[in-house]
Amino acid sequence: LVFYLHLPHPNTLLTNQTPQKNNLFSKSLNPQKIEKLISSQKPNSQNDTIFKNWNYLSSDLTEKILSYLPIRSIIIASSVCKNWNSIITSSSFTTKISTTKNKPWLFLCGQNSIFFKNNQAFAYDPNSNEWISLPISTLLSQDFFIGSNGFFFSTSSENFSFKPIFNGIWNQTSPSRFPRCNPLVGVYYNNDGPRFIVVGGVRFVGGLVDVEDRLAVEVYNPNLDSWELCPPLPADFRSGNSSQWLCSALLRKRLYVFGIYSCFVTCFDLDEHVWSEVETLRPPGILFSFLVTCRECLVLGGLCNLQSGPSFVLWKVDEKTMQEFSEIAIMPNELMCCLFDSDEDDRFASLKCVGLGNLVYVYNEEHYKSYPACVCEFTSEFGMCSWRKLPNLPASASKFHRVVSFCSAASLDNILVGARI
Amino acid sequence: MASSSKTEQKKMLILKSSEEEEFEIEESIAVQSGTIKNMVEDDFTLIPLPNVDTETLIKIIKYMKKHGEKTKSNEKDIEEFDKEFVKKSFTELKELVLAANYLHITSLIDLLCQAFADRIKNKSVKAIREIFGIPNDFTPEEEAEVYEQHKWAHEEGKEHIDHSAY
Repeated sequence: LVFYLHLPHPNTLLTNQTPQKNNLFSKSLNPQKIEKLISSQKPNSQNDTIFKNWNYLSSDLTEKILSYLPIRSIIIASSVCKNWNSIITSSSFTTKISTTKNKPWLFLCGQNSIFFKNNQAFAYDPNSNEWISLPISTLLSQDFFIGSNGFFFSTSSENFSFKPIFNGIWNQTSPSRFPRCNPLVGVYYNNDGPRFIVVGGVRFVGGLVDVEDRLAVEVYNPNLDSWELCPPLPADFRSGNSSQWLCSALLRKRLYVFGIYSCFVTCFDLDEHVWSEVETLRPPGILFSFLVTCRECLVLGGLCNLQSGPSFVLWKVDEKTMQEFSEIAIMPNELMCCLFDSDEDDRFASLKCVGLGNLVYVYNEEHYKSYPACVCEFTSEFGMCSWRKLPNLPASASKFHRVVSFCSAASLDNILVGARI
Repeated sequence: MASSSKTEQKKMLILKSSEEEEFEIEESIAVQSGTIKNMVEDDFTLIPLPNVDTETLIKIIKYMKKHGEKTKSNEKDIEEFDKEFVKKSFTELKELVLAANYLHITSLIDLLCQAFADRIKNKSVKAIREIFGIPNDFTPEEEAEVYEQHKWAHEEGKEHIDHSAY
């Protein structure tokens, strides 16, 4: 059907239509059909609310809007009203968000040794590329502060305390065998709940601690509030055993402990409670390196002296042999220069690396540039990755004496436990 | 401008707003709306839209026209258009998203919902209630409980959450 309409301009508003115009359409429309059409579109009582009162959106639209929000804003939105709370806490919504916004967060905690009030904690949400400044109440004003996979830990000369990162309160454990500062802590799950394995970093009391005790290992069960003594870290690690010199990676039912400078590696079987032989993991040219879990594999990230100059390289490590490794990524030179741009020869000494899921984070723990950081993201296979710089920390980040970082999953369903009203 | 011979070959529709204003639009562009597409399949050429006012309909037609001429080469151009398109007041966005929802224009619904999310992210609970006109139906105890459970989200270290509703 073709219609010839005499219009001065196609975009002109047409008003006061003449009866002739209706005749042109009479072939396709009759009054009854028009009536049927209009009545099928007539707002029913539910639509009445929607279309007259612009304040309320349908739950489909509300859910769609909420699903575009970053996780922190979703949590805020769950306090807006009961309707939003029930949309957000519904299992279909939390499952959808947990699958789409599933990249592990980077937590950066700064300690000021003189004024505890200046301790700060920041969390980076890679799903929305934003930093969140965590409230002061997150941290205890204790001496040392660490985190791992879902929990914050705090140690002082008398106490060991823990708190789930996003919910709950600080809990003090019953006394452990050894007071700690700077231990490695890993969180794993047995059938009956979480366990915290604490390695090394034993606190000296007047220099009377036995050398062997520096390698002490204990496992804490939060459900029973009990500590279990485990075989100590192999003696090869005697020379450096606090988290300053060691890093750990949890993969399946094993905790790998790795010497950042020594390149010694060993793993602890969490079921059998046995340490493996100590091996050396040292790709050529390595100056120092970190062991992380990435994409369910062991990945080594280290500063290397390559022909082109110092570079940060990532290798995939073969768990079975702990000797074979293959290069999977190198940090682009521009990013290296961006993160470490002083003229000092030892400018890379402050490089730190953590990783989880499909992300490896690298940052500079020198404060003068407010802790610049970058991330390497692996997409489907290890062959494909992209590096990008993280946005700057919030302006309020001050100078810290010590910076601690770790990765942790931040999935909506875990965060919302107990949130339904 | 457009030569009359061109418009002769393309099938045109008339969209009529709730205020009885009529707008001519090519059928090939208008069928980006699932609702209009259904009516066209039922042989309608005058499409009454009693739930969409004139102002909103004009904006929607503009969107459909721009997206109707999408090619491989003008993706950037359309991105820019979309960015500018959502720079509107909350009231306008609300009316647009309701109309887009009614008209089943999927890409526009997604664009507007994303725009809403971008505007309310990092805002406080009070600001969000004001924007959407949602009354607080929690009891003080319930509200305190939810707030306490998720303190980390509601409070900031040293910055402040955005309490403005603009």
